[in-house]
This record gives sequence, C-alpha cells and structure tokens, in this order.
Amino acid sequence: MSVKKGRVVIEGIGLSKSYGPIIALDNVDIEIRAGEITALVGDNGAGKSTLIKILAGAVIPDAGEVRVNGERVVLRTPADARDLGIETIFQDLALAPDRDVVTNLFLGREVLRKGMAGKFGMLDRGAMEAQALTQIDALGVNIPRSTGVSIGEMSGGQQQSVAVARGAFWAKTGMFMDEPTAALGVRESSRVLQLARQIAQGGVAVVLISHILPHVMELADRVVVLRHGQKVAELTEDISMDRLVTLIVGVDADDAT
Amino acid sequence: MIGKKPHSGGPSRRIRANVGGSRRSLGLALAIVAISIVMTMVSPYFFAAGNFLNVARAVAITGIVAAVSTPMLISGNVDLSVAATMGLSGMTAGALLVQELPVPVAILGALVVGLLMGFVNAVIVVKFQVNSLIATIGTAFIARGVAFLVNSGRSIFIPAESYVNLGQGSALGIPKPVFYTVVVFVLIGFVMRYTKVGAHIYAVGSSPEAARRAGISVPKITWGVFLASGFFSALAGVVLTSQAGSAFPYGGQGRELEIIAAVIVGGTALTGGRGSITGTILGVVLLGIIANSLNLVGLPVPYQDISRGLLLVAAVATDQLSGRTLGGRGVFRGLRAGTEES
Repeated sequence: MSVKKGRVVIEGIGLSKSYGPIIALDNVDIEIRAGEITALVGDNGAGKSTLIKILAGAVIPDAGEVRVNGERVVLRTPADARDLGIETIFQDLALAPDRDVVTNLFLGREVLRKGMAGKFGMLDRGAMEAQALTQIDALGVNIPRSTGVSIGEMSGGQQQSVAVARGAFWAKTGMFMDEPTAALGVRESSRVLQLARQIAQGGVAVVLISHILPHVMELADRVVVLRHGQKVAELTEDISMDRLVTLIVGVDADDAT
Repeated sequence: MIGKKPHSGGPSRRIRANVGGSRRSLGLALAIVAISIVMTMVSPYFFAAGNFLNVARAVAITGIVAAVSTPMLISGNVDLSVAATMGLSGMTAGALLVQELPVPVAILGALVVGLLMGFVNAVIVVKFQVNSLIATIGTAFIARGVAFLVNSGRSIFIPAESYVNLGQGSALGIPKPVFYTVVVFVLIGFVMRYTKVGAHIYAVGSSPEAARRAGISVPKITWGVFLASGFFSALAGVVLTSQAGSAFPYGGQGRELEIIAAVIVGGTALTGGRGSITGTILGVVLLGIIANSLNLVGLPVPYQDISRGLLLVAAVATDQLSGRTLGGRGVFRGLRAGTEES
C-alpha cells in the first residue's frame, strides 16, 4: 500500500515528562507519518495521553524535542500546534452545544469580512457556511445540513462527527484522536473511525488513542505500544490481539494463563 | 426540533430545545399583539400615540440595562449590581453638577464610576473565581452604601437645565431617552449577531471549556461583558437622574430583578449560550405593555409585580418542560448545590 510509504511529518525525540515523583513519559521516540493511522495503545497510566498532549502543545515536556516536517518546534500552547496544522479531537467538551455546526466549525477561527467591515470584527457568515457545507459533503458525514440547528440537539455520534469534521477541516499536518469513540455506540463509533480513515487517506497523519483493540487492529497502519511511560514496541504487521495484550500488560500471555 | 427525545449519551451531553431562538420571539410578539387587541377594546386610551410614548418612556431606562444584561447572561454570568450602579453613578453626576462642573464632565464622571463597578466585578469574578451572582450581590451592597454616603443619604437636586433636558426633552415628538435606548439596542444587537466578539460571547456561555480549547480567551470575554454592564448601567443612571431632575441614593433600587426578568422572558437562558437582543426587546416591551394595561384598567401597582412574577415563572417553566437543565452551567457554574453535575 502506498500509504505505508508515508513521510514522517511529526517527530518526538527523547520525550520525558514527570509529575512530581511520577514518571509519565520516559525518553520516548515516536515518528508519525502522513497518510497513516498510528494507534497509540497502553494500559491506564502508560503515558499515551501525555505523549499526545506534548505533541499537541497541551503539555510541555521536561526533556526532548518535537519536530514538525523536519524542523524543531517549541509548542507552548495548543494554539501553537494548531498553527502548524495539528488538531486534537477530544472525547467530549470540545463543542459549544448551543451553537450550530457552522459556528462550531469556525469556533475561535472565524472568517471576517473583507475591508472595513472586517476591521470592525464583522463575521463573513456566508463564506463560513459555504466552506462548512463543502467540508460536510466532502466527508459525507451524516449531520443536519441546515444551519441554525444547535449541536446539542444532535445525537452523540453526530456531535462527534462535527468535532472530527472540524479537526479534518483544519488539520493540514496531523490529527490526534484521544478515545474519540469512548462515549459512542457501536454504529456511531464505526462511522467516526471511517472518518479517521478518510482523513488519513487525504494525506494527514492520524494518531488514534483507543482502548478498544479490535478498532486498533482494524484501522491502524502502525501500532505504538507504551508501558509505564516507555515505548515497548512499534508494530506494522502481524498485529494480533494476543500480541497486543501481551505487550500492553507486559507479561507473556502464556504465563498469565 | 421541539419535543425531540433527549439523547441519553454521556453526562456531558444534553439536548435542549431551541427555545431561546425565533420560536420564543414569535410567542412574545403574539402575546404583545393579543394584549394590544384586548386592551384596544377595553380601554379607549390604549391605542393612542400618547400612550405608546408613555410605554416607551417607561421602558427606556430598563431597556438600556436589559440590553447590556443580555450578553452578560449569554456569557454565563449575571450582574445584579446594575441597579446599584445606576444609583451610584446618578449620585456621582448629581454631586459633580452641584459643584457647577460642566454637564459633559458630570456625565463622564458617572460613566467612569460605572466602568469602575464593571472593573471591580470583573476582578472578583475573573481573578478570584467568585461566582458572578454572589460577587455582584456583594458589590451591589457596597455601591448602594457608597451612593448613600455621597450626600449623607440625601438626594441631590440637579440645577443644570441642559442635563435635565437629556431625560425630559423630546425630539421629533419622541422622548429623548427612547433614542438612547434604541441606539444601545442596535449597537449591542449588532455586536451579538454580526461580530466575532458576539460569537465568542455565545461560545463562552455555551461551553467555557470548548471556547478555551478553541483558543478563545474566557477571561477577556468576561472582562468585556462586565465593563460593558457597568458602563451602560451608569448611562441608565444618567438618564434616570436627568428624567427625575434629581439624583436619589436609592435610584434604580429593585430594578435589577425587573431587568433580568425581562431578559429571561425574552428567551435568554441563565445557563448561558442562548438568547437574543430581539427577544430582550420583546421581553421589555411585553412587560411594559402589561404594566401599562394594568394601569389603564385601574389595577394598582402591586398587580404589576404579581403579573411580572407570573410571567417570569411561566416563561422559565416552559424552558424546563422542553428539557433544559440548569445545574452546573452558566450562572450556576461554581455554585455548590446538592445536585451538582458530575
């Protein structure tokens, strides 16, 4: 598959982070490739979220560096990462429930009118609506196309689809998804994961954190396993459930039974 | 949209019908028309230009503060110090005018006092993380106390005729205060509907966390709404004193509840994130027309309070029936209650 030849766009080198005496991340190297879905797996406290937060600018590492497109970058805030085209999708609380799809898609990044009106902060609602609808159609997401319907009136799956659509709209380099299906039903989950695949095919580096191993095996081109803050494996083939479980818990599956 | 079954997703999800939108405004408009029709039949005085001007004059001052209280509530905050700010800024203007300072200086002084109130409220809410409801009850007491200290509890007769004319005069046959109110409504309505700042106020009220993650500064928005609230409350204080020809330390007392009632009747939610200036205008006008109607049919003032109360309860009850939840959001944020959301 051509996607396997993806070029490394986001790189973490020797990343470490401690919270007091607790070592959340211990000298981890990671390479994330364009057009691939990289899954990040590990038990609770293995360091997955810390790693993703460092790459998304939400946590500043104690040591190590981050490179985007080969250049060293310093990410102090999520806004720094967003400026580099890196978006993060959270489980929840990322959308304004009383606002409609268009407003949420452009939340904090509103398009202003040209000329004087824009100087006074006037919104270009027409341009935002057009771009939002194009994006919804391109992704084929099943959300109400009519504007003015607030996000809170939609189902959980539709809401998450809006969050993913927003991520996809702004993600030029990478898109991180931290347990994107945790609050969703089976059908809604598969829809969101399908979207992740579509977005990767568009050339974006997708990183998926998930506890649900069947999702990981079905979707991921590459699986990075973390345990106690360290990277213990990186798999691109022969990804079986047994192997993943063994790597995650750190004992031989045969010994455990 | 309405009557859709709530989605039973995670605890952070809730479905709320779009009550704050056009449906509420339509209902209010119909109520205004219905009352007008009934009143036209009941009283020969109702449908007269003079009476409409009476209503307009009566709601002008409330309207200015209701206008600025709308973004306040939409942002998920409330300012209960607006009435005390009216009183204190009015006393400030009065005290400056008695010193024979020019009218513009007196008005400027009143507005500065208003901004100062907004500043203090914002500091308490943003820096000390005090719930706005509590913070502004506190500052309301303080401002009212200071208003009494300005002239040892006595009111101030305003000698400057040009100042008094700002409130008592008319232009094109319409009382001047009505123009100020219209300008404030248009200005705030424009900001809320068409600008980035307005969009951010809605976003912050709808979900402070989502707004923060989207790079919107929640503290900046909070600062903005409190400064605006202080400023326009002071403006209302100027109009109030110019209309009365005197400044009273208790000026505006009790109006804060009337104002918030009008905003909420207009469809703005205490939970933040929803509401519109159009709704507030209709809410203010509806309450004004009801008060005027009760006057015309000869029912005394207490009945106006009763009708206001009934209307407010009925309006909020319809919100509840359509599935809105109140806990943990907007004005209720940071208030400890037995039913705190997880």
